[in-house]
Amino acid sequence: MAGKKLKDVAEATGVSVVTVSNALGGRRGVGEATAAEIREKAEAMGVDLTRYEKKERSATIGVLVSRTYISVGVSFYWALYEKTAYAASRRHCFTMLEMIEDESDDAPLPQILGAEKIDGLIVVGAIRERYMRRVLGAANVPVVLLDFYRPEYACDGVLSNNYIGAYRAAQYLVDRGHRELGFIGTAETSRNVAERFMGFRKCLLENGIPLRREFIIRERDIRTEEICLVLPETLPTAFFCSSDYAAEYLILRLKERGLLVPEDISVASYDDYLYRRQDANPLTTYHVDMEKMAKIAVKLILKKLRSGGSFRGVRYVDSAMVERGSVRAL
Amino acid sequence: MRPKKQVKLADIAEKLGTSIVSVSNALAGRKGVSEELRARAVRCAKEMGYPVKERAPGAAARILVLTYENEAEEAAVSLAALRAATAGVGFELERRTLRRGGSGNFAIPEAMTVGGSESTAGESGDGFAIPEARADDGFTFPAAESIAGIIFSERMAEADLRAVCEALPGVPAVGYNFFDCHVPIDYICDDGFHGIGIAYRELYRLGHRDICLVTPDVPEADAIDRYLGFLFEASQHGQCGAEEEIDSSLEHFLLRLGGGSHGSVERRPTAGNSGSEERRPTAALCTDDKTAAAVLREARKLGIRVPDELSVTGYRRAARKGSTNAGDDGVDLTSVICDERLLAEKCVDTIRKRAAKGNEPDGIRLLIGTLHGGATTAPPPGS
Repeated sequence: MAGKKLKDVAEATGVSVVTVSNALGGRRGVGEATAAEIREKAEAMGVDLTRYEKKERSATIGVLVSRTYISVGVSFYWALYEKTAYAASRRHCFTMLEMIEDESDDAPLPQILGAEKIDGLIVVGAIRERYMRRVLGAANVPVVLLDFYRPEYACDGVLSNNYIGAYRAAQYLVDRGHRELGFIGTAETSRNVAERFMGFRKCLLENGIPLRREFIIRERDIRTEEICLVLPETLPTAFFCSSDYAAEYLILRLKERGLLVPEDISVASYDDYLYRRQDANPLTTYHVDMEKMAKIAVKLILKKLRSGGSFRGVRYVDSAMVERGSVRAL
Repeated sequence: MRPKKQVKLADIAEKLGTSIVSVSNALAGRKGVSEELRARAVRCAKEMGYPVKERAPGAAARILVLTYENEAEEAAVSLAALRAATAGVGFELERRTLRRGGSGNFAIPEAMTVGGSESTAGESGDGFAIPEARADDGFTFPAAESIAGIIFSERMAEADLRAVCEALPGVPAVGYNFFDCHVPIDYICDDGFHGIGIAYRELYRLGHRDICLVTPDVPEADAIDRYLGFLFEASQHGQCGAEEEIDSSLEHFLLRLGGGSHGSVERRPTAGNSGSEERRPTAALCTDDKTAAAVLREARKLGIRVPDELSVTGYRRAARKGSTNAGDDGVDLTSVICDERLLAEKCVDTIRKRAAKGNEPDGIRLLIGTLHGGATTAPPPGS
């Protein structure tokens, strides 16, 4: 390999260096037969071809987001879309964003699915199940679900490590002396929250702490999904909230009672993105690694485009607690 | 550490009659040099006192595999899988054992345990289980530079994990099929929480609505994840609430199977059939194969036909997915298979990637198993 350069290959095959470069790089201007011959020769001569293999053709990745998620100013899914677009551009891909306005049964399918516009599809955030099935049926490109999943979809998914992350957050509280733990979240409305609730329960079980139902508090009405957080008379010493949003509502309710965080009650939550907001409370929270999730989602799409890989399953992306002072050690 | 008079690559090249680049490539383990020349170059370099790195990229790199003395039964499975995963990919395994005596900080909840086979030999709680380097037990850690990575091949106490990581700073470390959220290294772990759902969904698909979870009377640590995974899946299917607590012990289930004799077991609602306590469940979703075998034995004793009257599923670790592990009576058990090979490969992969890229640990990585469809599952009676 020592000193084996494109020039040597050019000499051996009797063409110019530029032609060799073009042939190895898969660019235009070289006949198929010549290109194949040059590649073979270069390989035989021991030229390192790995840097040529790495170049992948640019792809266009469609991104679907339900509009209901985007309407909020600083929305989690808007941030996740940003990360996805960035991850794609880092891999020399473009993204096309389409917001789903209407997820009813007779709503039209997303336009980006038609006319071979996209090479792959990333769906950011859960979409109504029946509409989602129609999208999956119509999409003839690789699909990756970001931050939601259902086994019935038989589709690749990239999610935050809900079960483990919630366990980490609850254990964080236990490590700081808390034995009376409450949970804020509505497991019935989201699979992610249900998984986080189970992670919370794992922590209780492992530490021999009984599950107290009066400390499991839904922050939303199950049917209308409107916020309605009602706190019981007696409170635990610490709460784990299934999202930063839930934590914000909780802190508001506590304030109404004249209780301070973390002096009177500790709060650990899940997401770590509200801190961007000026008025947000400094929450100690489990970080959702959106960068890594987006990067993996794009990587999965490209992998599937290259090798035609089929269903691989779900990738849960783990992370760690970010300490911002909403938890007090007892 | 070089000798006073530095030997240069050029000296070796001259002696061997080859180029400096070739010698460099040979010693660094890069390709483009014949193995014959490589061997000659390494020999020559050593003779002349040129520092040859023990761990050359491309050459076999050492991975330290740690187990406890009197290893747990499962450690043998992990070791076999790790051996297979490292064969021929440029890694060699070096096994070391730690003395038990960790703090055993894993508390099994009262609700799920009866007795304790939990293996904490030294209960004194003296924490650090790593004995000082002593000649008689041969326990010394190799230099960190000579190690590509560490694999903890069985669940280890937090103090032990920390002590090893401190002894070998900067070396990528991976926990094999367990995790400890207090020690920030990589963990590759079977996803028992989601894994048990595979069996649940299969039973549900077959039409079962009276699915009963069965855990051993002395559950292992993994049982918690599978217990909660069951509750999660059952609540997703609207069969119970996410907050429910159930008695999933084998003892309790066998009593239900037998009907009449209630014994001293306290009766608590069971997910999937609250209020229908008198009815026999149509499916036993067991958290491991041993428990499933016990259910099968009892069913045979009671004259309950499997799978016509009762479906039974298990959960096991196996070196290859789909490999059948017929129970002691030759029954082909439907079971969730935790693919040991995949776990081992990911462990090795993680070390390789971290050694190459120098990135931070990814934390806990969950890998889900697959379903082995055996002869112990069928639609419920009367469907």
